[in-house]
Order: sequence, then C-alpha cells, then structure tokens
Amino acid sequence: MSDLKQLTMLQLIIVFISSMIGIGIILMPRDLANTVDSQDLWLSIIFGALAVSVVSCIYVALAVRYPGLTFFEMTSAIMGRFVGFLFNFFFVVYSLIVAAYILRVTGGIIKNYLLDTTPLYIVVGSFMLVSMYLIYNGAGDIVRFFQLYFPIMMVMFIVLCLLSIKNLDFNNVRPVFQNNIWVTISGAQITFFSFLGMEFLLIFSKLIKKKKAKNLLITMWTSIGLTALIYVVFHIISIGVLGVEELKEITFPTIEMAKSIEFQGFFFERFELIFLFGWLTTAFTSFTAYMYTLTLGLKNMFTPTRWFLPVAGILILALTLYPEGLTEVFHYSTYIQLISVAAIVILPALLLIVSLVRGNTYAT
Amino acid sequence: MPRKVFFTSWILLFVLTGCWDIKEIEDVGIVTGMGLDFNEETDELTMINQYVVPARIPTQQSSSQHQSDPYQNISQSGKTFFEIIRNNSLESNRPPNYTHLKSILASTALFEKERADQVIDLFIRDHEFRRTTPVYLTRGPVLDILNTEPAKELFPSIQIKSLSENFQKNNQNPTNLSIGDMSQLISEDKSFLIPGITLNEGNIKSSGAGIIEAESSNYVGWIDVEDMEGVRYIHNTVQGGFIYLDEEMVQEGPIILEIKGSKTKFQTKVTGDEPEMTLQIATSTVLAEDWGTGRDVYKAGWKKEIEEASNNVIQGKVERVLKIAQQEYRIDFLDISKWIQIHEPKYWKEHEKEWNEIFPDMNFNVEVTTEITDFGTQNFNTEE
Repeated sequence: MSDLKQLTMLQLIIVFISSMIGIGIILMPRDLANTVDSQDLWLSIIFGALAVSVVSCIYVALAVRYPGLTFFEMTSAIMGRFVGFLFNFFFVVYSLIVAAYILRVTGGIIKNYLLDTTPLYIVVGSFMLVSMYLIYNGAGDIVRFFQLYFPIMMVMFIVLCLLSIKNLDFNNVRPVFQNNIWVTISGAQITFFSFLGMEFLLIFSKLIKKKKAKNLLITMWTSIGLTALIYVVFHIISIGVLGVEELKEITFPTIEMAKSIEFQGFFFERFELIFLFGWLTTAFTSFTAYMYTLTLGLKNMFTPTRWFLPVAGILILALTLYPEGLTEVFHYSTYIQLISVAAIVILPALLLIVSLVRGNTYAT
Repeated sequence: MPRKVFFTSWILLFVLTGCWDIKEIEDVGIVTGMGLDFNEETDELTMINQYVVPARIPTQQSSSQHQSDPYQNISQSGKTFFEIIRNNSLESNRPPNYTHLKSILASTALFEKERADQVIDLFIRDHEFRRTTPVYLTRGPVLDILNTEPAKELFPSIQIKSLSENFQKNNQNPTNLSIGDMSQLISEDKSFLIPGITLNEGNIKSSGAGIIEAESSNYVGWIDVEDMEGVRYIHNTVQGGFIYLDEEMVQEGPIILEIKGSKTKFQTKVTGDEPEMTLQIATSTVLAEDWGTGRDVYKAGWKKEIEEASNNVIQGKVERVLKIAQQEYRIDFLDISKWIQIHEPKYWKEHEKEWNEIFPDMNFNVEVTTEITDFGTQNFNTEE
C-alpha cells in the first residue's frame, strides 16, 4: 500500500485534470463541428464547463456529508442494502463501459498511427496490463503516477500549441459570435461528456477525508476551468489549422492537426509521434481511473478479494474487443452518453435528495 | 525466490525479443516524389513513383566522375492508386515508403477526367501520407518533368518543391498548396488554384496555376504566370517581389521598385441584396533599380509620380485577375467568399447557396497605396 493518506488540493486538481482529459480532446472537435457547424464551436465548451460545474456541487455536497466514504459505500448507507446494490451495479457497468470505450479508441489510434501491423488485442492487452500493475497497489500510487506524468502532459500540450502557431490561420476562426446562440449552447450536450472524470471525487474519497466544502468546490472548479481552457485553446487551434468543414470529416482531428506541423530539417519534423506519446499518457490516466473505479466497485459489491482486478481486466478486454471496427465504436458512444448521464448526474442527485430528506449523514 | 526469477525471465523473454522484424533503412524504398497522370490509350490512371537509389547518391569522394541519376521512376497504370502502389512491388524489390514524400505532381489531363476529391482520397485517408505534402499541376506529361535532371538538387521532385520556396522573392511564384489545404478547400466547397509547373527548354519552371472548379471538382483553366501577381495580392500573400514601371508610366524610366511588404484589406458592403467589396492594398517598397538619370532623391517630391504609377500598375493587375474570375470562368477561385463570410455573416448564411450566381456580377473597387521608403546607397544624377 502507498504511504499517501491525504491528498493536497494540488494533487486533487491533478487527478481531476488527468482523468478528464483523455480521448475527448482527440474526438470532440469532430462531433462538435458536426453539431454546432460554426466557427463558434469553442463557445460550447465553456457552456459545457458551466453545466459540469453545477453538477460538481452535488458531488461536493455528498463528499462533505459522508467524508471518507466512496460512492459504493455511500449508496448502501443512504439507500439501504438492496437499492444500494442496484446503484453500485449501475455505476460499475458505467465504469466498465467507459473504460472499454477509452481503451478501444486508444487502441484504434495506436493501430492507426503507431503500430500498424500489431494485432489489436496485443495493443489493448499490454496497455491494460500496465494499468493493472499500477492499480494493484491502490489509489495512493495512482495519484502519485498522475502527479509524475502531469508536467509531461502539460509540456506536450504547450509545445503543440506553440508549434501550431505557424499553421494557424485566424481567418478560419472568424467570424466570432455570429452563430445562433441556442445551437452553440446545444453543443454543450457533447462537450459535457469530455468533462467526465469529476465523479472521481466520490471514488478517491478515502484520500480526501479532511476537506471543507469551500475548498473542495474551489478545487473542482479550478480543475474544470483549467480543462476547459485547454480544450478551448485546442479547439481554436484545430479550427485555425484545419477549418470547420474539414474537422467534420477527419477521424482524429487533433492528431491530424499535430500532423500538419512540419519544420523542415528540424528535430520536430514529425511532431505527431512525440505528441502521441504525450497524449497516450493522458488516455492512460483516464483509463486507469475508470478501471480502478470498476475494481473498487466489484470489491464493494461482493466479498473483496484480490481477484477482482483480473476479473475487471477480463471484462474490459472482452467488451473492448467486442465491436468490429471504429464505426461501431463511435456508434455506441451515443448510448454511452445516456448511461453516463444516468450514472454521474441522476444517481448522485438521487443520493443527495434522499440523504437530505432522511437527514442522515455519516457523521451522525 | 525461484518463482520470482522464473517470472522475471519469462517476462523478459517477451520484452527483449526486440528487433525480430527489423527493416534496414537501406532496404526501404523511400519515395520522394509522386506523379499522377491519365493514360489516354488504356483509359486508366497512371502513377509515377520516384524512388531514391541510395547507392547512386554522389558522395564527396566520388563526385568527380559522372554518375547516373540517383533516382528511379517507376510508372505504372491501373484502375486505382492503391492497386498501382502495390503493383510497384512487381518491379521494385523495395517496398515504397511515403513518409518522406516531398511533392505530388498531377497533370491537368487527370483532373479533366477525374474529380479532384476522388483523386486525393487515398492521400488523405492513408496515415503514411502527410498533410503537408505540396501538390502541383502540369499541362504536359508528368513523367517528362519527373525525368528531367535538375540543376542544383538531386531529385526533380525536390526541385519542384524548392521552387515554391522562392515565393518571398518573386510575386509570380504561386504559394504552396499542401494536400491538407486542398482537402480543406474541397470540403469547404471552394474553387481553388493549384500551383503550376512546366518544362522550359529542359528545365523545370514554376508557371502560373491551374483552376479546379468546386462543383465538378475538375480542372477548368489556367492562370498564366503574368497574372499570378494579381492573385497573390488578392490572397494577401505578397511578401516580396518587384514592380516594373516603364517609360510610358514615369518620365524617367524604366524603374524597378522592390516590394518590402504588402497588406490587403477587404471591406465589404451589402446594399439591398448586392454585395460590394473594396480591396485596399497597401504596399511598401524601395527604389531598387533606376534607368532614369535625372532623378534627385534628395529633393522632396520625387516619389509622388512613381507611387502613382505603381498604384496604377498594381490596380491593373488585380482588376485583370478579378475580370478573369468574374467574366472568363465565372467562378470564385480567389477565396473572395471567405471575406463575405467573415464580414457579412448574415448575408452569407442566406446566400451561401447562390454564391456562384452572385460572384460574377459583384462590384469590386481596388484602392492601392504604394509608398517608397528608401532609395538605396547611391544615386546617379547626371543631368545637373
């Protein structure tokens, strides 16, 4: 077990940002361009962030009322054993599906750009083995890992932004604020899901015992704000380099944007490979967080044993290899979004309401 | 303990297998240039791959004796490009690798027969091709150009690309169009220009540009090298070059002004349903060459006449290109629509579909202001 017992605010911010930024940063530009269809699409991210900030209040309220309890323990404390089990089951299914989705898209990207001829199950399997090794030692080590790689991720993003400036055509981003505002706001239904990850406040709660509501809110809003900032910058660059019409058609827009960076004879002549390594870490961190949730959930629902980690691995692997191609994967994403809303908005909201009605807290 | 050792060595067995499918760089057929053409006889596509032959690249030791060309062009015909690439392995022992592709040269004949969006599909779909590879167009046979021995570069395909790097020095050089830009313009439903290349007495020469029309995605016409200057002003890509003023335009002449920088501003106005555009071109120049003898640059007022003449020259060039676009081809290959979209978003949303009918009858005003900032290190004034 790790020696990490209590997270600082900074560590918490790092956990949130690392788990929020994942495959969303690669896939979101295309979905957003198709929905909003305007140069203003980056505005939708801000609306999405606002929506998420509101939802995050539910988590903070729960975390304050039940300090030290994870989501899985909370459910039975609030709803009773049977309903709690159902809630846990649903949340476990949600983590399983999201973990498999992240893994499959990551595998697709690795196969497309890096390991052309390696079979998918090797790519996906080895990715997961590393993650399992990290989870084996518990939440403390996961946080340490996030902390270790966070600067690398940030440097990679900043370098990508700086190198893209040469290709940036601001005329592609213009005109600003001319789109129908309701269409832009409706884009929030897509951007909302790229902020998935703030629910880990209720998962890493063993490490967040002594925190005040105000501090937690500031922490969450800072992480959401920083993530939104990164997203907005990336989207403006993506539009500036590729144009909105082109974004609609590119499978992995952000990677193509990195691919259009070229400095002849310079070390960065092919920058997208370096960027991919940096990005893979972010995908790895979000995947690890979800797999940890899955393992934790399984342990809470049944008699805890060590064997739930491999079980979680097998479940994820099976679900990852189930879709035939990326077309099916992207097709499922609509259903995944529905499940996500149920799992991370409706369930915690219900918990909070029932808890308020019954007036019980962990402290009493 | 033995279990741990066993486990570790078992893992190592998988991790340290390393390079079992290693490919030596010498054994990879690096392709620097690609030619796309249409074979009229067989009614098939033709693709030329320019392979590097590393052994024939002259080194410092052996540079004295003449060697044969360090490249090999393999030209094949087929129904699709992918098929041709794979059929290359019937002729070449080295599998082609396109990660270092420097230029793609297509013929107008190909774009007359096939749609541009269909032609470039493979090059934007396959991850081995880069979005930054520039595309060029030629009116002659592609193979002839790729077979020309370049003067300063080793490979014709690299020579083609290097020419376009002169765009800061000469206004008549078209700026590069990468395959990514091309894909962007196609998905935005815009007509556009592809930089042109011709063979001139055995030399590769940059010359004008070919027009691809949006709707048919076909080649429809050619912009001559003289008209490229106007295009560059409208595209707002002028960074250098010169303005030639002959004796008819200035009293003492001819005069050459070197362009130090230029900026084009677009102002739009919509009156009723009629859009109108004003192009404000501000050019900063210096006196580069003066064949007139009686000019006193130390006396105020010498600039005025030259600046006015230069204004007229630039205005004439820009208006000529606009006339070609509006009257001859009746399509907007100059990306004028972008400025309407930026400045008049409401109008653009309503009339986006009818742009092809609106553009030919649009009113353009061209306003040029040239300023001469410098005259050089010495000035002959013999008529005193």
